[in-house]
Amino acid sequence: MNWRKLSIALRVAAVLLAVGVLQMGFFNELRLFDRACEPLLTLAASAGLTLGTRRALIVGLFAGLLYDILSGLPIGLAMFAYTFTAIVAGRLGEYVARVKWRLVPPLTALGFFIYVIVGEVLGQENFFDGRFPATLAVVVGWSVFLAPAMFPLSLWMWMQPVRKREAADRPLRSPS
Amino acid sequence: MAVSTGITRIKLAVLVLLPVTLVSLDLNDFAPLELGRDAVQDALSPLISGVSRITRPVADAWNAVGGYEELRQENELLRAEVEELRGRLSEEVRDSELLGQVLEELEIPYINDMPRATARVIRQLGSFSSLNVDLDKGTDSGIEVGMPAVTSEGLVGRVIETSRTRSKVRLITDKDFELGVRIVGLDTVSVAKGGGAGRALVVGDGVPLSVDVRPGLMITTSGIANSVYPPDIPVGVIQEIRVDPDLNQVLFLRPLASLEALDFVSILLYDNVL
Repeated sequence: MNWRKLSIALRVAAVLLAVGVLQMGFFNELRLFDRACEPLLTLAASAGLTLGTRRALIVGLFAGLLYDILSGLPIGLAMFAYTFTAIVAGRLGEYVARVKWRLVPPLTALGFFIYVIVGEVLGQENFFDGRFPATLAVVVGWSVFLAPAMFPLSLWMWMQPVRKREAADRPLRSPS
Repeated sequence: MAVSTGITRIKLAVLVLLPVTLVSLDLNDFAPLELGRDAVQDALSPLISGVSRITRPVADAWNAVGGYEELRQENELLRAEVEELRGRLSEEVRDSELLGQVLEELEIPYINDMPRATARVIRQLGSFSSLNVDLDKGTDSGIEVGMPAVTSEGLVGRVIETSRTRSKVRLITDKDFELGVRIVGLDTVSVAKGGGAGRALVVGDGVPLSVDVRPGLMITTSGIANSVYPPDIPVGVIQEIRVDPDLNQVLFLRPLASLEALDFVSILLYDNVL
C-alpha cells in the first residue's frame, strides 16, 4: 500500500468515525417530532455523487456497517441500504453534467426507504408504520442542511481537490 | 467484463451479497459477529459519551424549543389520566379492605435492600420506536443477562444482552416477553405477555370466571419458586377484562412504569437468574 492509499484509508476511517460518533452522541438527540437525522446515509449519498461508484461503494459499505454496529440492529441491514444508495448515487453522478448537492436529499430518501423496506422484510415490525411519512420527511429535511457539508467532506477524504465552488456544485466531467 | 463505472460485475455482486450474508449470520446469532459488535461499541462508548456530554446543552436547548408542543400534549394526556385514576380510586374506596391491600403493596420496599446498578438509558440510534432499550452499564457494574430492570414505578423489563460497558433490556411490552404475575388481593397467579409497543400487557390464561377481578386491580410479579423476578414488583394495573371462548378471563394491563420516557433504570442484581 503506497502513501496515498494509506492516507485515503485513514481519512475515510476518520471521517466515518467522526460522523458516526457525532450522529450517535449529538445528532441523535436533536429530535424533530421525535425523529432523528441520518448523517451517515447522507454521507454515503454525497460520496456517490462526488466520488463515483467504485469509491462510494466502499464508503457506503463501511458507513452502513458502522450504523448497524451503533444501532444494535441486524448487521448488514443498513450496510445493504447504504451500499445500494451509494451505487445509485455513483451511477447518477456519471450521467449528470453537474453534480449538485440538491441531488442528495432524494437519494437520502431512496436509501431510507430501502432501509425500511428491507428491515420490514427481515422482521423489524416497527419500521413501517403510520409514523413513516413524517420520519422520511424529517430525514430528507435534515439532509438538505447536511448535504452542503458532506460534499467537501467526501472530496477531502478521498484527497480530491476541494474548491469553494466545487464543494457544493462540482462538475465531474464534461458532458459528452 | 467491467461496467462503465470501473468495477467488475463480480466485485459488485460480492459487495452486494456481503451485507445479505452478514444479515443472515446476525439473525442466527453468529457469536463472532456479536463479539465484534460489542468490542466496537465498547471502544466507541467513551467517545460517544464525551460528545454527548459536551453537546448536551445544545441538544437540551433544541429539544426545549422543538418539544414544547409535544410536552403540552403529553401534559394534557397526563391530566386526563390523573382524572380517570381519581375516578377509579373513589370507586375502590367502597372496598376499604382492598384499598388497604393495594396501598400496602404500593409501599412494598421491593428494591430497598436489594443490590442494584442504576444505568442511564442510551437513546437508540434512528427514528424508530423500539421494544429494547440500551443502557450505559454492563458486566463491569455486575449486570448479567436475565436480571430484572425496574424504575420506582415498577417493572420495566429484563436484561437480554450485556457487554463490558453496555447492556440491552427487553421491555415488558415486547411480544416475546413473559412473566409470572399475581393479582394483588386475590392471590391468583398467572402469566402475563407483552402485547407490542404502546399496547397493553395480556394475561391470557389461568384466570377463571369465578375469580372476581375488576379494572383497577394491581398486578405484581408472582415470586413463585425459581422465578427470575423477585416477588411483589409492581407490573401493571388491570385496564380491561374480556372473556375468551374457554370461559377464562383475559386481562389487559397498563404497565405502571412509563416505558416511553425512560431516562434511568435500576437493574436488580438478583441472583435467581435461571
